[in-house]
Amino acid sequence: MPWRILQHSSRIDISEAIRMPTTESEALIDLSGVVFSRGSNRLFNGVDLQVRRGEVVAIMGPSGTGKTTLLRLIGGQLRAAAGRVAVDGQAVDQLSRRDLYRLRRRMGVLFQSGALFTDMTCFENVAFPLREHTDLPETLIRTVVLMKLEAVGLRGARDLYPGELSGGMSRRVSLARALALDPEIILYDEPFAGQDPISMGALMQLIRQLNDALGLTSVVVSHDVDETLRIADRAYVISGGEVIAAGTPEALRHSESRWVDQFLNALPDGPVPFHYPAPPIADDLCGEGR
Amino acid sequence: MIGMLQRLGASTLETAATLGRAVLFLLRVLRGSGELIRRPGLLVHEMYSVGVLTLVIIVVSGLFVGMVLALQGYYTLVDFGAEQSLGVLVALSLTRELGPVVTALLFAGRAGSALTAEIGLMKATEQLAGMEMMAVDPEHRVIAPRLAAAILSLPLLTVIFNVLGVTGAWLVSVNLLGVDGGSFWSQMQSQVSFSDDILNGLIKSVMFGVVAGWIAVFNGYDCRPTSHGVSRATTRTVVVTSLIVLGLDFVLTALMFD
Amino acid sequence: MDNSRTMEIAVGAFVAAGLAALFVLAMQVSNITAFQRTEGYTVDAYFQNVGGLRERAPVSLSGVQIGRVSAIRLDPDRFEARVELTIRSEYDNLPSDTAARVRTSGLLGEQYVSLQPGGMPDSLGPGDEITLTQSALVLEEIVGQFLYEQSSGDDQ
Repeated sequence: MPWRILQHSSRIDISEAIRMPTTESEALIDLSGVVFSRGSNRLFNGVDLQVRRGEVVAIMGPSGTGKTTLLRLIGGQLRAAAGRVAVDGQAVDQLSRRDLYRLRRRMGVLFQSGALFTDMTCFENVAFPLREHTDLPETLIRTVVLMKLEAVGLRGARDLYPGELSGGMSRRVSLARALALDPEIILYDEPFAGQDPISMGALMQLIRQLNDALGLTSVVVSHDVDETLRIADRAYVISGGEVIAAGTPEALRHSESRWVDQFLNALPDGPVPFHYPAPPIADDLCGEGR
Repeated sequence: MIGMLQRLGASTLETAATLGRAVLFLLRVLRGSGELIRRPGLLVHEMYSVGVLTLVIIVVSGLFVGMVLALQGYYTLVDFGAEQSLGVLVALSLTRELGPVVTALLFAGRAGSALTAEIGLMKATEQLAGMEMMAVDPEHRVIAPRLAAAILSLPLLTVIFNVLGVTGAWLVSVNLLGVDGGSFWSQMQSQVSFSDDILNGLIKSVMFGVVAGWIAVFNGYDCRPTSHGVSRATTRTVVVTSLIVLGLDFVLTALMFD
Repeated sequence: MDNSRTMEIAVGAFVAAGLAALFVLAMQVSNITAFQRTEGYTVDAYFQNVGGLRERAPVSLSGVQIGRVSAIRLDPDRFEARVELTIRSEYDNLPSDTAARVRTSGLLGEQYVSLQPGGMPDSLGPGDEITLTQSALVLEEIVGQFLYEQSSGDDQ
């Protein structure tokens, strides 16, 4: 392994130093005018979003804005009602099943829950995509799996079952599995949710360093503002089905928007109301509501 | 009144939609089961959890069902001096009806519910979605081997059940009640036909295997991915499988033994 | 992996047990035992009516089973039922004038072929014909005959 993981002292420096050069034209993931509804609830109402090759792009927004749905749109598990979702120039929702599956091999997804197979050891979990998609001999699979586990610092945990791992560890194993086929794109779904500060730090560093060292392109969906902004090159803030702010973390921090201000500074009330829409409480309590 | 009509209509539509999804699902799974020939290891793994682990309950129930049949049959037949026909009675009841049906019911309770719960939990914990994003089709990788294992296991379990039932009946009637062993077997052999009784029973159990496996994997795959959804799907698997097996058995019997 | 090895062995044993069970059903429970009838020789017997006699019904002598009915078919020339009896080879000294009749075990039991040995010195061999036969009793015929005799008796 050419890079060292968990060098605490140089966490930010390394990521600053090896940042990949990006050119404007290379939009690896390109969403334009995406509309998506779930039932009567319109989740996206014309979302435009570009991810260039080599970037770490954060997609942020309050819970329930459909950030996970956005990842599923990119992965082709859901279809947009209107608009275009393209990965590497191919419109995801128009691909045949075969081509879609071929495209998915170039993507790794880190699910919120880790989505590890509970009846397999960590080793078998990481080996799973290799066994499914390659005819590598067992010795080579072993080598690859151990390297991937080493990259996330869990080579020693290879014989444990997912149930024996902490939340942070299982997310790292899941990351190793996502990396098993050497993808070009990694999608992270809430990688920091419910993590203690130490594993959060480890994950942050992993996301940034893997992206840079392996030349990946990363999309991080999260509502953990500080952590996400520290590793992202650019960030989109989504609310009410639209992108309401986009830009570098620096630009977002100085945004004029009251909304972005509320979100980034964790103010309980503001443009995003504290209350779920409801009739006035006086009506409700006096029995007018129903 | 209108409300009742509306509810009836809604549930009819719902049922029709579920049925449609189940049929499409089965077709997709069957299309993906060609992969099993290439990778028999997947099937072996599922045969273990679906078939081998169900064996204990099948062995015990088979033995006891046979013993009880012999005991009850004896008390009735002995009044007519026809206790030699005990073997025929037990063997025909087992191979034609009880073997396939009871095995399918036990199978639904033991293996079907486990299949539903397993698949439902895999869905709830995003394992199926994760697999899909790893470009592995869960319908081929997870569902197809389980369905095939159910279809293969149920007939095997049924024959084992039948043999143990006959053995149980033999133990009780010959060793306990003093029925003549020679006529027990010879009457059985002269009355039970391999093609009419045993093969038809076997065909029944293959059909039940398809039904039980299909219902189990579909309910798991179609359930709402919550703990409540999984538990409801598991219950539904057992109830629906039992009802359909009993209904189908009636139809098949009417068709086979006219 | 050791684990998958035991699993494979268990599944193998399971499948083998299932096939063995099917074999037992075929051989011990059902009448496919006909395949193992090599032991013995066959003789033919012609009956005017075999009643409810079925293939694989027992053939007995003095109540002891000595063989089985191996085939029943209609002889197109004589318009009689040709019943093929397979007698176990240890009973190879049945007299050639042995008689055969179709009888019912008990009132409601199955029908079988009962043999009565004659007194001839030479014995039945493979392919021989039993000439003395008595058909099955058909209840309607007996009742019909009885009624006929009753009515003819009234005339006198």
